[in-house]
Amino acid sequence: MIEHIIDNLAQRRDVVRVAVSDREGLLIASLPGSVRAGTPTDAEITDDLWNAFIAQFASNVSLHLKNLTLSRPLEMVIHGTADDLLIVWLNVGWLIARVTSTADWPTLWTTVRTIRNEFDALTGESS
Amino acid sequence: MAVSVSRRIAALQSAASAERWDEFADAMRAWAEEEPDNPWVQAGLVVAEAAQGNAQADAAERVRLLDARLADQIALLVDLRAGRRSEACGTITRELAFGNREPALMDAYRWVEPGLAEPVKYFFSTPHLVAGCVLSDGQITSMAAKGSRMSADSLGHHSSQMWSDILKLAKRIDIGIPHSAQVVGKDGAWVLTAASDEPSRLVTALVAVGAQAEEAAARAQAISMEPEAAHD
Repeated sequence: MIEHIIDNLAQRRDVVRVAVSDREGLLIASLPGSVRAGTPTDAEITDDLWNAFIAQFASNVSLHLKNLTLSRPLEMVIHGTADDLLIVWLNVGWLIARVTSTADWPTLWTTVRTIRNEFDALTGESS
Repeated sequence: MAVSVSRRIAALQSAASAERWDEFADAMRAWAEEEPDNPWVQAGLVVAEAAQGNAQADAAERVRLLDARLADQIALLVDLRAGRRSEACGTITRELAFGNREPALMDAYRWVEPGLAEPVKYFFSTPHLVAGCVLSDGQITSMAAKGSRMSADSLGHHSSQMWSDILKLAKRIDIGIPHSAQVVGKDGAWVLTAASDEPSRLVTALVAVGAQAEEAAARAQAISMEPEAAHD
């Protein structure tokens, strides 16, 4: 079911990888994107590595934001020289996508917001 | 005799609409060779070459994703030539928010936005800024706080911590060298930008809810792309 919802994102021509975690950062779904690995070592990044990264990063970020009196982040974008990273709060967990540096951001956001609505409908949660 | 600007733009538009990216890049390259000191022509060349590279690496579909940016780039050339600074400024801000760190784009930004002659001052005057600071090696070199929500000092401390997490993350999942991050929450947005040659030099801002985080990001980038660490 979850894979079905995030499939639209994975199928985009600017997405390298998509994952969904629960609130604590435990990986619950992961799909390869339609773009092949963005960098030579990307192919070596396993689900376990994603899992570990997501759990740690989500927890660290939440701590800093609390101390900045900024409430839970809804959307994060990190620009890298190889690819960019998009992390979105889904009310029940996190959606994480690695996208190419030439991503089409306006339509990418549209896809992501549709996914958030579908998750809200599925879980009965909403912001 | 030099080709007129309107003929060049017509040629670019025609190549782009027909998705002939090699032709587009050739036209852009010829223009850039003739006017090497024109920052906006150089900035256009970067996008043209990205489109050409993409066309070779992948199907036309991926190139289609660059269409909006190319159209923006053409509009930017036209606006800059016509001296429409505020329109040009909007396009440049969007392109910077895409993560384009081409120095020529920043030169064009400085040209349309005279306030950037004093980048730190200009950054602190970002609309809806709550707090902002410029750090080097974790030490604050300039700061400003306008809201009561927090101090710039606290922003600096948490920005350093956050940036260290981002560096670890980038290493682990291999997104290359990170240069900027934007975090948008319900009640505000947090913007971080690092100097490409010195990741320990950070510019960071907290802006109020509803504010354009892109504006803060573009202004922060202007500081981080200064050759020397910026001081008040």
